[in-house]
Amino acid sequence: MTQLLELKNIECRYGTLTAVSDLSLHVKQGSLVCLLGPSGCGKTTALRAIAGFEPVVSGEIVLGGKVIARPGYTLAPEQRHLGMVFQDYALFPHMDVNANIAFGLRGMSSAERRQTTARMLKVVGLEGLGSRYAHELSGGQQQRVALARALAPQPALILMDEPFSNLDVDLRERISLEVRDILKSQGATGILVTHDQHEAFALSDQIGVMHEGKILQWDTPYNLYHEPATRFIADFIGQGIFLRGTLVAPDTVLTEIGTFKGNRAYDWPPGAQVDLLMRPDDIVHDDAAPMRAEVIHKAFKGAEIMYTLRLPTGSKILSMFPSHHDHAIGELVGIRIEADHMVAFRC
Amino acid sequence: MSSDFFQVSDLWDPISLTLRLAALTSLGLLILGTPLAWWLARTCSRLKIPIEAIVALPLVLPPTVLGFYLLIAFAPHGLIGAPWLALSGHTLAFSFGGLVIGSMLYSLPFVVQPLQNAFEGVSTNLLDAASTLGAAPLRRFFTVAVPLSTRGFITALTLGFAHTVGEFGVVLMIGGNIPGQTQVLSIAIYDHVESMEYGQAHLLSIGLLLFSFVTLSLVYSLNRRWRLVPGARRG
Repeated sequence: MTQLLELKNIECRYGTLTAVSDLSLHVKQGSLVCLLGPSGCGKTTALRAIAGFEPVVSGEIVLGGKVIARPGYTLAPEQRHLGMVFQDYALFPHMDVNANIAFGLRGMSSAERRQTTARMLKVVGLEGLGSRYAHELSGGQQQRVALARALAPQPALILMDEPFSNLDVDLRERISLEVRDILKSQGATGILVTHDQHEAFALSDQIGVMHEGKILQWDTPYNLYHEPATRFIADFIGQGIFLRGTLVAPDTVLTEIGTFKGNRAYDWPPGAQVDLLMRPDDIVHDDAAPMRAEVIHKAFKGAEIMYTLRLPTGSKILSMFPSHHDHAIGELVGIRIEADHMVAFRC
Repeated sequence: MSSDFFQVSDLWDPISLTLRLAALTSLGLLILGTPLAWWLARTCSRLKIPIEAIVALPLVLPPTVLGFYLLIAFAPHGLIGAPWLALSGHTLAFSFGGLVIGSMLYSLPFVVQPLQNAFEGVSTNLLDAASTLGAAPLRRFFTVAVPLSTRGFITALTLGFAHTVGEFGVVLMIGGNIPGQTQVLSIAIYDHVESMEYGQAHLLSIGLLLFSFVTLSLVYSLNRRWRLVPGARRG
């Protein structure tokens, strides 16, 4: 696989405000990647720079081996051959679905255009809705029209700016999986920008977590959750708490609930104080276990219940129990540690 | 000839002159006002505010002020009059050509403001979407901005036309009162009243009143109906 898109140390500014700084990334042909981060982290600016709506003040953007942006030069968006799905879908309200999808199909005969439009409608599962207008469609359908319209001209790369944020929460994950299937079926290369990790996990092969204009970690969803590189990522991705401990060997941490031996070694001196990341799935329910903790808070999640527990020392931990283990607040429950990954940050 | 008796041509000349003036003025303003309104709607330039103020000036200035300066500019040695004289061999003041230029300035806000409002209502995201789909600026303008601003165009053209039909002060200052050349409806009415020809004055006045009423009703009803047509919905 070849690199389709390269961002080389780009920087974008709004006046004196630096929105993106020293950002580098590579996107391979056929991969789906995501820029994930809280609002204001610069992810949308980065996407708009790739699309050609924002200039770069340093660095360069290379698409298919050709420089499309560097300081003082920004290739116009209409010449980049990229598809984009906007947060509000940006469907043309004065055109029906067919005309929206056909908008980017220039230089085709009208028969070819009709054929492509019909094929794209089928790809996104909206056959028969070609003569509807945007306001006659549900949010999920509009989203799919936007996707079909962006995919129709077979762009080199498809950019998606928070494309699921206008959908109902319970629809988001399902639609992002569907979109992933559609993009993969078309062999498309895509970049998603979102603040929602569940969307990011559902859609992408690789994720770059952004904070204050920089990418902190570029990794698979699995690694971001289990092997976060920084405290910010550990906090931002998934749930969990930090438990104070002491490093007794490069790969072993002693805490109030036991000794953790992990899969990575730290080169801090023995005796160093560390914060150990405890995910809710690292602590399992076990009535037979000698270790007891008090339930102080519970959140029912359907198949599971997320318990906030207080240890005898007063520290709090989170633990996910299967839903049929229903305990009242104040009750003491048995817990056991079952952690495969040991992630520690030095205090 | 008694004052109660009048010839059809006495009435028709000012009417046809007025209609011609209004049509040419609206057309000219459509051509010049559209790019100006588009620029005003999209620009972040510091010039935006002073230019908006200049466009709005005819709304607040007495027509005599505009007319006075135009008269000076149109004079055979004036800023516009001299080159015009050199090019066409005619003076601009007290001519139909001068009236068209004066009317265009006088009706400028009535065309530019509705267009600017309509253009500002076109979401930037739609234009951005069009550009990612390969549409260059001109195609974005004609396939996205213009169809979504239909109401603005109808309002601008109707108001520009109607307002030119109703002008008086500027015409009086720069056009004078030459039958068949610069004597528009409002001037003709004034003339008839001055000459105590109340019959003619009534006829023209009632005609103008009805015309204005019908035009405005049309604008309002179109604006209302258009909102229900799917194609013109915004957002």
